[in-house]
Amino acid sequence: MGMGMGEEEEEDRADFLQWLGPDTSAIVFTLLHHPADLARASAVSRSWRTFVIANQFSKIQCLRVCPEVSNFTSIEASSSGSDVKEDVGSSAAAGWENQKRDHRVYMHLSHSLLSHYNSRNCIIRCIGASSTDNFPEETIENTLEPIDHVEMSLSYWSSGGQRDPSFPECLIYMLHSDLCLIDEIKIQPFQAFFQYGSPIYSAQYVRFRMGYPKLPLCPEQLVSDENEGQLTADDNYTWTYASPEFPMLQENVAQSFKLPHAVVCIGGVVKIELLGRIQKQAIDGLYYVCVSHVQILGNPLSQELSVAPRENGVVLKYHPEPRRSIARCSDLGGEDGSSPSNWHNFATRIWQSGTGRGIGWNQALLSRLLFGPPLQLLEEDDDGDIS
Amino acid sequence: MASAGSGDEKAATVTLISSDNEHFEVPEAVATLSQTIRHMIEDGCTDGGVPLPNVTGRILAKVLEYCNKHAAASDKDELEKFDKAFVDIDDQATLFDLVMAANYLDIRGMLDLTCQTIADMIKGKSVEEIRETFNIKNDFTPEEEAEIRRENQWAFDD
Repeated sequence: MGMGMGEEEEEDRADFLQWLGPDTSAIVFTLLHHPADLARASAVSRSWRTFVIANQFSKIQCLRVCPEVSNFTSIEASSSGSDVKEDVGSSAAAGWENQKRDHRVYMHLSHSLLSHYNSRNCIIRCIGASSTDNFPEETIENTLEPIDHVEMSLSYWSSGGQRDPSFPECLIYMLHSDLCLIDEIKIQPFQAFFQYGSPIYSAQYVRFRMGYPKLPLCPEQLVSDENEGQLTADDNYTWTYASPEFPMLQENVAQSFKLPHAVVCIGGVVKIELLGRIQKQAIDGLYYVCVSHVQILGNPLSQELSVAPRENGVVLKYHPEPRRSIARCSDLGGEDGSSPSNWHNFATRIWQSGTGRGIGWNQALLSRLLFGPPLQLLEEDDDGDIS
Repeated sequence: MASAGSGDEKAATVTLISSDNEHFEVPEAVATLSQTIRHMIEDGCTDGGVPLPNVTGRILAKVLEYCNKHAAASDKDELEKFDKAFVDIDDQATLFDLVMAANYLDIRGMLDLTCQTIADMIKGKSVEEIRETFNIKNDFTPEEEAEIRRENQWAFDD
């Protein structure tokens, strides 16, 4: 194809999509980083819209900011609030419909990922700890309570004791929704003022994983001392993101661990790995890790987006009208692992099957009611078993 | 005395021939900013000149302006200033020709620069402004356009 100034153009303005080949035009479009620019570009003309959809630029935008998005094996979208999975036919027309659908959903996701937000704590409840020394006094639930500005706050989680300081521990939490954008995690290790020397039971390093449970979690399974270790085992989860290791300070402060980039947590589960113990308890000579408070900061994404597990991975679902969880009574019945469970409602489902209408209840208050007040009094006996 | 070594006093050059038969003799160090030409030199098929049927003399001259400047590997700020002026072109056809030449000749820096310039002409503009910039006709029906805007209402605040 010859190019150059063959004839004088009357207009010195032209549609570059016609002039440049698809490869160079594609370069131009991938340089549009803002979702709004891409959305507007797809409204310019039919050829522009077709080009944007066929080349999946909206997906590329998402991948650029959150590589974890590559975990989605496919997209499901409903048009009118019903959860119908669109039939994937084999004809070219069906293929084009799928591409349009994908474009629509990734466009929505991209907008969600790149919108401005005020960071907030995204934890809705605890799933479990790898071990707990004294259950329920030192339960993981205590890490959700903000630090009492009372000097001897004794609301904390303690791991079991180990001789081997390299024995890892973990804390697993559930987030407000299936999809949350997380940029920072804060952890405050526990300082045992009631022990000689006021030791701080921090870990050497922390690392974070994010993902979804392979099978839906039953409320009864959560934060129980019967199945500890089992529930938190990696086998039960598919992790879609693993952070680098961050060194932890042996200081009684809320330590901020900023992720290298804002990460989209797919499935609403965050695992905090506590690696390397450094503090022995004088009484028994065992190493422990104890944590006072945890916050997982970021922003839950649009209500219209959710995730669901499928045989070969996880899909991204888009439902333009927010579904009312109250309406989906059938979900409350059984924890049928075989049905395509929908975590979108999982968090609210817990509350409804638990101690009543938990939605809107203060998290800390509810924990207290379920698990009793945190230990307020010291044991008189110095060889008390507080650890 | 016979001297050892190649002893070339003149730096190697290569002749580039535009589609309208203009000849440009260019130092290899400059021409090899083009990966396409670099491969041809390495393959030894540049004797008699390299025909470039896809690039006119006018455009080739501009391309070489870019290559000359960048081969001299001057100061980063200076290069930035040069690049900015290089793409300050009123006439879109020339800009598009430069994109295509950069692509054909595989000059990465120039391709990025010229494509970024076009992208910058889209960024922040409303749909009407984009159409105006590139003289594009709106071929949607009003219903179609309304539907497209509704899908991403947040992007269309005009």
